[in-house]
Amino acid sequence: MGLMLKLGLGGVLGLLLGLVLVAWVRPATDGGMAILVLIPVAVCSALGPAVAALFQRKGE
Amino acid sequence: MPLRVFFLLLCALLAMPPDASAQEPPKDRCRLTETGGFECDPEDREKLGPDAQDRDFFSGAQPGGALRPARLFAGPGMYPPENYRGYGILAFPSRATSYDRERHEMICAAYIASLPESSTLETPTEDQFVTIWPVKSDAEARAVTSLPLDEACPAAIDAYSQEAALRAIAAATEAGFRDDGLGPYLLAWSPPSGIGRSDVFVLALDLSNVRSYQQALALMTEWNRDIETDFDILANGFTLERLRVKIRRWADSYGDGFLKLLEAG
Repeated sequence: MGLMLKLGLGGVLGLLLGLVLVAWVRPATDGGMAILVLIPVAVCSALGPAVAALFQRKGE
Repeated sequence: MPLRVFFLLLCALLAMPPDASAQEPPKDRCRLTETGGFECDPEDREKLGPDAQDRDFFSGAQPGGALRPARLFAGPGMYPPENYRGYGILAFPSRATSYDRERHEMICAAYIASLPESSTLETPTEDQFVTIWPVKSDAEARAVTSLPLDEACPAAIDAYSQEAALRAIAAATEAGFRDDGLGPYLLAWSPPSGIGRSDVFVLALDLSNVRSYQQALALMTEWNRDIETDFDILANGFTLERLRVKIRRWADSYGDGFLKLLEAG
């Protein structure tokens, strides 16, 4: 799987997680919403390739 | 790959909001129905009558109701105020000088505008959460309270008790508060009798970055919201609800700065 695909998939899952977080926390400001969405997107994107590599190594 | 999806979906499920209404029954005898009316126990309806119910609901005259924020100019003899559900203090670390008097007046005006005077509320004092403006003597406190609103601030600033404020800041620091700004700080304790102890919860709001009346008013409104909706949640141990409130406060505090950073970059 290409690196960009892994990053993208991680980002989409992070976006979903961020949206669930926003729905639960209900921040009062736009900035609050943005930070709660962008942090999971950034973290999941960054972790995507690393987690995929871990599973690939286990599979081998 | 499917495992990763599973773990992330598990995270999403754990983050789902708890149904708070299902956990606690409503405290009030009357509750708002879906159609916009009030539904009360039949006995209470007979005793109060429909008009009395509505009046009590809006005035908050029923004891045991929601926490209502209020303000009070208090001298040393009136401090800490008795019979209130809780109390806080507007603590300036320094007295006003000719260089920053305007800022003090601005914050005082927002304090007066956003918080109702305690004695003017119909809500019983045991349901009030009073935020104090400390004053040097009881006589001055009574004099400032009796002044018209536009004259109260200059007198309140002249009579401000820096000693009480510094004591409050020191007590809050003992409980983990960090006063690393210009101030003033809004500080509140739970339980109120725990002031000075290190194991009590201190609700704090830093007004160091206030430069305009609108900013001061916005933060005072936030303080009211903290007291009305979040104080009991934040003060009572670790729960998912407390975690939610903490995340919201953190996100709201840093979110706008984060957006500005993105715009600048």
